[in-house]
Amino acid sequence: MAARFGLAGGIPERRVRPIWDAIDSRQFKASLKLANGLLAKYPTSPYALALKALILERMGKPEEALGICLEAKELLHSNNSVHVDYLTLSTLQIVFQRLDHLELATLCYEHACVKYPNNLEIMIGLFNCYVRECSYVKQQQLAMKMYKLVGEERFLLWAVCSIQLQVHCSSTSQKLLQLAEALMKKHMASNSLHDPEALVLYLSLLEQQEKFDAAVEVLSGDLGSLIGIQEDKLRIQGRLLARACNYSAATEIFERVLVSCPDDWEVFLCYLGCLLEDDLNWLKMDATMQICSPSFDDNGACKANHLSNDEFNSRISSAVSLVQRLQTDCNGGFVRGAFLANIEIERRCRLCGTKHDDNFVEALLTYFYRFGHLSCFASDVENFLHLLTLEEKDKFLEKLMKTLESPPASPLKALDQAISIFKVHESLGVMFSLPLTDLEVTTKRMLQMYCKNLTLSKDLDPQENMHGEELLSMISNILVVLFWRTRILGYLLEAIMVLEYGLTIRRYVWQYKIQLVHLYSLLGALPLAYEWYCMLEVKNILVETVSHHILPQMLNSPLWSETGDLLSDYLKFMDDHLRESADLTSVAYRHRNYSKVIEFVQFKERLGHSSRLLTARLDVPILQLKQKANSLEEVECIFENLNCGSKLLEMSNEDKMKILTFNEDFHARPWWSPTPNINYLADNFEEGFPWLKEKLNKKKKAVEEEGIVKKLIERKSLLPRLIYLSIQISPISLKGNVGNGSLHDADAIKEIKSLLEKYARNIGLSFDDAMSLLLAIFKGQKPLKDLGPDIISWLNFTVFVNAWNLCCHQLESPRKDSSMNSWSVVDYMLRSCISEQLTHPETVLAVPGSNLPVLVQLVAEPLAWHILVIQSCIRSMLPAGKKKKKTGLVDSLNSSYAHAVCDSVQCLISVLQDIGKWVSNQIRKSEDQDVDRLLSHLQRSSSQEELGSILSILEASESMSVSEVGERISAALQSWSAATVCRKISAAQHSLLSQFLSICESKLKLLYSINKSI
Amino acid sequence: MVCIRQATVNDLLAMQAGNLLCLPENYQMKYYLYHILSWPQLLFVAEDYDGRIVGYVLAKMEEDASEPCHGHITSLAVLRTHRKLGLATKLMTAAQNAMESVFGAEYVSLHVRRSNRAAFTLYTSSLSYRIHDVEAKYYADGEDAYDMRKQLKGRPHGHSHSHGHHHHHHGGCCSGESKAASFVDVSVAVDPAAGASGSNSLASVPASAAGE
Repeated sequence: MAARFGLAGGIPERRVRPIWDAIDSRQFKASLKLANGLLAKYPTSPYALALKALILERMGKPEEALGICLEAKELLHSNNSVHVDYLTLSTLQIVFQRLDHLELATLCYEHACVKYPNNLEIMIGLFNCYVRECSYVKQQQLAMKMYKLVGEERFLLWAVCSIQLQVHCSSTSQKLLQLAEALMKKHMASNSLHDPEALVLYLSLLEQQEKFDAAVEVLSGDLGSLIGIQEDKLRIQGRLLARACNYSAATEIFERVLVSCPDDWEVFLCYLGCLLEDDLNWLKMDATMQICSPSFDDNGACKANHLSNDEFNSRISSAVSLVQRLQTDCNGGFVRGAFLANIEIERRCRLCGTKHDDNFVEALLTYFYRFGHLSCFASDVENFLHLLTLEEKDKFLEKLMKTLESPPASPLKALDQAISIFKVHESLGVMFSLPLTDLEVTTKRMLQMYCKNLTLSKDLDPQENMHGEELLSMISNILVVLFWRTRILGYLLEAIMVLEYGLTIRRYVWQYKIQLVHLYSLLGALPLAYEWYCMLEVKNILVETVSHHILPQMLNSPLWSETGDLLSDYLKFMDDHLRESADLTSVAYRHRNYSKVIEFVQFKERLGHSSRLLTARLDVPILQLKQKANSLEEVECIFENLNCGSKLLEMSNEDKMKILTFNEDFHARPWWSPTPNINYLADNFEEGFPWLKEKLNKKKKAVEEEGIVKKLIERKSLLPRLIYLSIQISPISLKGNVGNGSLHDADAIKEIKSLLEKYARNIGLSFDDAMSLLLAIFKGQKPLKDLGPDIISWLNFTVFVNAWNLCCHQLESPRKDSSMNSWSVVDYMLRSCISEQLTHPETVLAVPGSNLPVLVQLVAEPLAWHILVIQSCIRSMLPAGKKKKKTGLVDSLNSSYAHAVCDSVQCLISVLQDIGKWVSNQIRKSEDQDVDRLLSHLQRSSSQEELGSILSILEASESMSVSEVGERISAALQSWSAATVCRKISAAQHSLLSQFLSICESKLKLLYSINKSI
Repeated sequence: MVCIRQATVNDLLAMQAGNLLCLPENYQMKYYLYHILSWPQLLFVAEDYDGRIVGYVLAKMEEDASEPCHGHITSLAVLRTHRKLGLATKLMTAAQNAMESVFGAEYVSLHVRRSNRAAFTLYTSSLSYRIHDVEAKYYADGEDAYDMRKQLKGRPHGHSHSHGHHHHHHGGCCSGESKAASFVDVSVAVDPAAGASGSNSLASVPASAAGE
């Protein structure tokens, strides 16, 4: 059966070779012709069929390819005399995989394994099929079979690895680990182990079963030498000892690691933890066998300390002496760990109240004197800074500022040191408490410092970072604070100018671009934000971690096609990755990297369960619905492909929510928007430190965000189905009493009610309470603002309630008062919410973070869904075949019902006209007028005339000569112009508003035609 | 407090983010994955205080049986905030040592842009690389690359626990498939660098950010 020399899939190789070559050079047409010729000669050869299928798939003809593959599969199964070899199977496998039919490939291999038992090559092929399909149990069984067949260690390890995957990924009982351990033990007794990865796998088996002593014993024995890097071995040993509560031995081991790797901070923390016998909960390993870092905020560690004062002090002294030894050993180098260790030791002492508090500040200062000129200084000490009291903070800052009076001789060092000090100011939140005038002076001084030091970057390559680059980010941050505190728009524009200026000089600064993306979004210049985002060239896995900078704003904007592009790029990356990763797991098996197999499978799951991915899968159909909402027929087409929205409902089920992962990197977000759902600038600034500390706690905010995202996903998953049911059930009411309706109708009504109950709970109330609130607002008993900030969800709810109510008449008063029907409630809510948004007389420009996104959403969502309900009602009112009845419908139908529809249409027309007027007013001004107005904000008078305005400092730098800053920077400075930036802003705002206007106009046109037809 | 340690798959997110910060090139995800799943011993990250990844080196073993066993540095990056701390040297040394001790590599090669003075200096003065050849128009933008090499001590490989032999024959679990795949450029299982986009720069060493 095996391919004999010169045969490929049972066909002489010379006949197949030309086809391979043609495929290789992507000449698919030619190769197809050759493959057809081959098939004519070998009509029952599965390999010839597989080749043809492969070519067809590559030519973009998946259906034909699948048909031929299935034919080949049939042949394999039915004809015993047919030639089957590995090449045939693997070629079929490739095609099946590309057609997303992994299971069919597996069937082929399974069949071949039965036909040719004990053929290792095919068994390995089948193993790979199971790997692709994540069938861990079958993997394990097959690997054991191969191990028994040939006794090779690698097959045993494949089996053990498959067991670990069952325990890690499919919550199988831990008991299986015992089996794995026994298997390995037996193998080791006769063969020992020869592969470091095998040892790591064995140790992890023991560690997972908490057999720490046994693991230490194995590691200390002969097998330990398999781990090539001595420090790695010691790290594992230290961890095992610590987990076995053998703290003194663990301390000793960690000490040994520190002596050879004094900069290993994690090991230092482990050392200190074991030495002081802290609560070592953090030492539990995570699933990937790494030590979890001790939590910094966890002060519990020291509080739980049971050591006596004397004992504590004596152990601290031994830590101090170790640290001193390490410092002496690495003096003069860049090893910072041993020096930062002093601060950590002081922190511990301070927590236990055993030493004077001054020592802590002193330790920070000592570290500053040594490393203050390094750009990592601020991030090194950031966590420690947050532990300072107000008094200590002032003292520390005062001493830092003193060093500015006698700066280092090297201008570069002086610049870097000054930057470190500014960064410390920033992380201590000084900008929120400093008097406004001082703050303004600081910004200008910083900007002057940046411009003055441009000369230092004269000879740098364009790709290299400029010296003092961080200054502009910090200046921009402070200017935004100034805006927050004063509401003077000029500051915000200055923040933008500074960053644009920096990007003119060097266009690769990622941080500036991110800041601009957010500032432009805030300023209603979303197209410009999108442009900068595109220039970041975010791709690959970064679409998962970084797209939060732009996607949320885009989803609430009228830029539908750009939003669609962002979503489809993201989904394409994720889908491709998830498909390709099936093969990548095999790479790790092939290279015998078992710990990587487990890491990788877990990583794959992490991405597969991504909250961003789930959200995007929901956003795509919702966006499509928004785009097509003007046509009931097109919306119904979308629903046909969506399984009427019920598949989306399943996406937010409890199991999915439990395993959701959050992979966003919020680190680079601006201080005023630590997560996509927070914008501090929307609220007024309040003085007061504790309040700020709470607000600016990024980690905490990120955790809160997770809860918000889960709610959002649930809402999004409900939305399409609610729209679908609303369209379906609205006409039911026209058929008369629901009791007469079909069973199907009754089900739909029941379902929409239960979904509405869920939706209400999601927005924070029970269904009945939500209804009461709506009615109370409608009757004027409660104000609109009682709905809270998420009025879009509330209005969606109102629209769907109306659709439901058409059949149930729950919302009507006993007197059948027409003003009380649910149509009126929708009309009222839409009208009041929209007119409230339109009452702001200012232009979009004058109110950053304006109501535009809310208005856009109101029109694109509840209003659009309501029009769909209206269309559906009207369609059912019109008798079939008489769609263009000349006389109105009002006479011929239930008149109160028809009147309600008419009123609603009139209401929508009038609100859309109002919005149209408002938007037109905004874009009526010429671009020149806008530019002048923007520039006037930048040229406002300043209380520090001698420093000039930010703009004047930027403009003054233009005069720096080529000899000072070099040709490239000089040319960039010359090309910079504030007016150009203002023009771009104005153009972007106009374009955004125009797109919104055209959406409104298209809906108006639709409503006019509906109105005419009634 | 920078610890040089072997990379984990989860580090890839931070590594790519770092790449965005300091390299003009940005590799495909599967390229990173292929490296870490094939030669995890050669991937190192520089982890700073608080678990932040501030630098990394991506390296591989060349699988061409016609050449002597050698390694190749694919990518090296250090965040700007952590330059001038000797991290690039440490990362490179760690990767080179592993090539030698785990795989018995005789030498290590890399490519560097002709214009990248900082990286060139690092490779020649700190790490003793020598120019072996010049590859004309190696990068997508038409720039030439220096093909640089450094001789390793070339410890005889195969002693004690060497992995090396697994990489040179197709005895692994994907063996036969790579035969089939080799003419259909399914790429992922074979060599994503060559198959993914066909661009030469994918396999390059954009060490622009590595300047010490």
